[in-house]
Amino acid sequence: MQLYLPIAEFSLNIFLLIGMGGAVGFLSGLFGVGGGFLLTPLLIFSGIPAPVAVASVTSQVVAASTSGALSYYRRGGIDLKLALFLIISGVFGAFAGVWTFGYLRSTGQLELTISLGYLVFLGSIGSIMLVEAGRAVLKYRSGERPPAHLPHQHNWVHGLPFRVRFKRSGIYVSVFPVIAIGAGIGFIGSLLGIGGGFILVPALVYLLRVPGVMVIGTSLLHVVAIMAVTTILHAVASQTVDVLLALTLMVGSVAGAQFGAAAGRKLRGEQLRLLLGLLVLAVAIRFAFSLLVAPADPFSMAIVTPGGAG
Amino acid sequence: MGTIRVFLAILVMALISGPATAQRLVSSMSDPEISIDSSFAGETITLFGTVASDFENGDTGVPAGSFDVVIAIHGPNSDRVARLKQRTGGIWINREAQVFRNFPSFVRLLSTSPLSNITDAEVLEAEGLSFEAIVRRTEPDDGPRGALFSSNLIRMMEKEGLFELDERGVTLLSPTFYSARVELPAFVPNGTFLATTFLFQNGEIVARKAERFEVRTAGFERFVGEQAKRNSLVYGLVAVLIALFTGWLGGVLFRR
Repeated sequence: MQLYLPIAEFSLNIFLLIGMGGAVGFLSGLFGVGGGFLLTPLLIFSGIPAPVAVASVTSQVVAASTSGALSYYRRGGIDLKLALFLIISGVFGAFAGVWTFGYLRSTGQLELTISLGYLVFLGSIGSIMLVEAGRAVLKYRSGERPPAHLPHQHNWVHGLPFRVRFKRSGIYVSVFPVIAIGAGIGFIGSLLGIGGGFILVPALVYLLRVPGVMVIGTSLLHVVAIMAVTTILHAVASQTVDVLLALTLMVGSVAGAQFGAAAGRKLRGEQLRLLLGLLVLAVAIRFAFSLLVAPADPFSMAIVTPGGAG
Repeated sequence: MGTIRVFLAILVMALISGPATAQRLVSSMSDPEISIDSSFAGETITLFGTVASDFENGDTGVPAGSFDVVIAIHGPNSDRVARLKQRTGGIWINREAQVFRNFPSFVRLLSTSPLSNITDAEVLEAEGLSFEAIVRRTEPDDGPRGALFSSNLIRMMEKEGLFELDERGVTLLSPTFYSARVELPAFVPNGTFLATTFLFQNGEIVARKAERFEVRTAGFERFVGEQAKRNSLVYGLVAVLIALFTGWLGGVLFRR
């Protein structure tokens, strides 16, 4: 059954859309990530214009992260003060990201930037995850157990001025890295159509030393808030949010995530991180391919719409 | 849609037409308005008409020779840019671009026989009855790079199914009566279309007639598309609320 998407001005099979949402939802439930970094490329490769794919997935990420954020909130797994600092700076990042998005679209370099962005971020994060998880798996095999808590050592980040105490997380840290992380994730997320949870979680853990019980919930709340703001910004600035597309993806992914989460409980943490690292790296390699290999058609065309977007 | 109605109209026209001297075209089409709804998967429209003698100008109604019919359908115009990727520092980047102003988003050229048999190249050029002629009207400069971009733009438009030439697309059911079936694909752009019918005799245009028709989204799809453009802030807020609600509902249903 074909579904006409009013903003994409394009028909796609509704079962294909729900299926894509379900598959990505399964993986996001399995690994505890938003799944935007998989869904946006999938949509682009199935013919949806990149601007519509990015903006619509942004609202899908809101849906995918809401139930998780709510359940962490009920369990007290969110540092609201830290989340507030991250969100306020993230909103500024999102504004800059959406503005950059429109500018790049008008100059014809949006697809290139999205490809490069995915390559750089997924490539580096995927490699780090793979190395870290690979070591953990080897250690597990050799009978060594990983330490339950990160050593309470201080790094260079903790030497910066204007420190703020975040009681829930039990950290006392300068506002600058907090603002930089929040704004950075907001910028990258709005530009690439990803929640950025898989970048935010390691940043909070390794740079700010946020404890494990707070990190996932706080990161999920940041993703919900920033992606909600970004959806509105995309709707106003480029009018590329397709609610019908987003809704079919949401339905698929919300259902798929439940099965993924159940499957995830059968695997150990480092095994999951190893698989996620491989998946992230595979997407990065797919983008590297599209950048490095001579395109089948060096020519492309687009409609120039008034207001700089095209 | 309305196949019987079209058939009846064709029948009536065929009966009233009779022999003529080709000074006037009487034409019509099956659907002056095509609406796109959620299950829209393209639609076929029929354009038909007859050559009527122009009695007011003193014609006696004696048929003279044979006619050829050419139909040009143009979709709504917009500025379109063609871009060329080049390898730069190892990666493929859009480097050169050319903008074509007021470029038709959709073109169908249909005729009773190959266009080159109907008339000469100058007439085709002047009337915009070739893709090259259509592009030339919108091209800012005419240098060798411009020619490269226009030929590739035509190639891409044809590959996407937005430009199509069908030199057997118009059927003459009698020497003076024609009909043409045009398939509008699912990705047909929205807006006002112009269908111009040219009547040729011995290589000269003896009559022409232009008709408009609309392609527009209907019902819910139209509502969504309009809200996205007119009330974009509200649209964005509603999109977020839908997302929050769906996420919350999923959590409740599956008790995470």
